[in-house]
This record gives sequence, structure tokens and C-alpha cells, in this order.
Amino acid sequence: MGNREGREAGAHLILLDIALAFLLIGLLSLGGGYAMIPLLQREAARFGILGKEFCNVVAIAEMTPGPVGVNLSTYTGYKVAGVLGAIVATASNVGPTAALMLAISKLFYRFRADAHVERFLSGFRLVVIGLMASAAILMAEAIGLCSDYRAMAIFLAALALGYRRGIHPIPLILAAGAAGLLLY
Amino acid sequence: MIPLIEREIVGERGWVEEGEFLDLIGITQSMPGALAINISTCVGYKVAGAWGALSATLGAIIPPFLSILLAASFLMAAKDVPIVERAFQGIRPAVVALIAASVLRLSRAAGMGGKGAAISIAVALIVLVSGVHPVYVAAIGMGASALWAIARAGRPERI
Repeated sequence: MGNREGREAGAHLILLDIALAFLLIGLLSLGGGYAMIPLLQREAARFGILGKEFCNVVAIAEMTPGPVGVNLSTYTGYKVAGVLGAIVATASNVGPTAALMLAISKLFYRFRADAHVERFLSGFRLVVIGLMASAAILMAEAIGLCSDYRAMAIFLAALALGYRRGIHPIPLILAAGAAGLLLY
Repeated sequence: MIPLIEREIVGERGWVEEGEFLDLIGITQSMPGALAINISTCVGYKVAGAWGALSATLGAIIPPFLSILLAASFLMAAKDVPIVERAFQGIRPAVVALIAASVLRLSRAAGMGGKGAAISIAVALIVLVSGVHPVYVAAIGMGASALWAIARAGRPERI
């Protein structure tokens, strides 16, 4: 997938690059919610969305309506190749999974009860957890979390409120923004 | 988001029944992609066939698509404004915390034991240390999970 020449060769190749990247990400993201983030992190970096900006974009994707992973895809496509890039990224991210969903929905009930599927999911969930942990660690590194006590304080407070109290992400992000204005 | 979807398609419109909705959640959770969009596709298909699926999927995508375009152009224009950057300095650690909280929640839901934790930690280390692309790790993880599921068929569940 290291298609650097693509960007130099022409706009249609950039679009093809985007389409392939987000198609793979869509098909491999299983586990809902943030499961797409570790897969997107590396691709976003390849398209020039690095470190702090990636964190900013996750926050934006969280605060706008719609699934975080799809929103991140849209943003990345938009940044790389404008509105057309956004359309290609979103469509290739969502289209194949929707088609697969349709194909499977005919087998619907049988599929749901299948013990193999349950077991497969319980195994793959461990992979998703590991990938998400690596994404969080890479992001923490990128923003210098451990060398900034104010950031660490916000992180710990948000972790406690989000995990222990189950506070919704949007008020949490707003409060963290207010804390940023006060502390920095 | 799930309660919102449920109220609309089970309560208001009566497109699917309660039990069927739960099955739908179950199957979409076993499929790649975003849950809300997968549910829309399925319900659209059930109500009006292929065109229903297409329009339901588009309906679920277009509003977030437009709002992210708006937000993206705001972010790109305002990223060097000092007050915005200060707010984001507070927001970034919270975003990391949200993902960390999600890792903890998923681990608890998975009833993770020592062996499970070892697998998750190994996966994280592979990405962090070797720098292998997470997409490949996910693909290999899917294959390995499938083989494991087949190999363990008929034996009691334990992670």
C-alpha cells in the first residue's frame, strides 16, 4: 500500500489510493465504536494527518453526528483531495461493508446463533483491544502526555469520568476544552 | 445511538419487532463497519428491498458527511487561532482517555483472563515495537480467530 508515487502521478491516482485504503479499513474494522481508529491512524499519517492533528480530528469526529470511524474517513479524504476525496473515502469505507451486510442478512438468524461466529468474535475482540491500546499509546506519545502534568491531569480526570461514571464523550470533550482554556 | 435507532424503527415506525431488533444488533456487531450504518442498511432492505437498503444507507451517511465537511473546514481555518489551539490542548488528552476507557470497558465485557490479556498485550506490542501496519495485524488476527473458532468447536468456552 506504500503508494507514494500515486500522489505525484495525478489526482485520479490519489483517489484510487484513498479508495483502496478505506476499503480495507472498512472491511477489517470489526468490533464497533473505536475499533476503526488504530487502522485509520497509520493511513491518516500516510496522508499527512499526524500526531496532534489526528487527536484533534478524533475529537471532531466524536462531536459530529455519525460513527467516529466513518467521520474520520470523511475528514481524511477531504483533507487529501477535497470534497471528491471525502466522497470517495466515505463511499469506499461504507459501501463494501453495507453490501456484505446485505448478503449476510439473508442468513440472518442462523448466523446469529452460530457458536463458531460467537467464538470467532470473542477471539478477534482480543486483537481489537490490543490494537486500540496501541493507538492510545501512540497518541499519548504524540501529544507528550507523560511530560506535561496538566495534560496528565486532564487525561486522568477524563478517564475516571468516562470509564467509572460513564459520562458521554461530548460533554467530556467540551469540559476538557474548557480545562484547556483555563490551564494553558 | 442504539436506543435512538430502536425508538425510531421499532417504536415509531414499527418496521421491525423488538426481538428481531435484538437479532439485528447481534448480527451487525458480528459484521465489519459502523453499527448504525449496518443497521440502517438491513432495515432498509427489509422494508423496501435493494432500493430501500440504498436509500437507508445514504440517509445514515449524508447528514454526518455534511457536518464533518463543515467541521473540517472550520478546523483547517481555525487551527492556528491561539484560543482554539489552547482548547485543543485540553481536548487531546481527553481523547486519549476516551480510547483508554473504551479499552478498559471492552476488556471487562470480554471477561478477560490472563491468556486473553497476554494476547491483547502481544498485539499492542507488535504494533508499537515492530511497526507492522495495524491493517495487517487486524487481517492476520481475523484469520487466526477464525481458525481458533473452528479448532475449538464443541469444546467449552474459555479465554
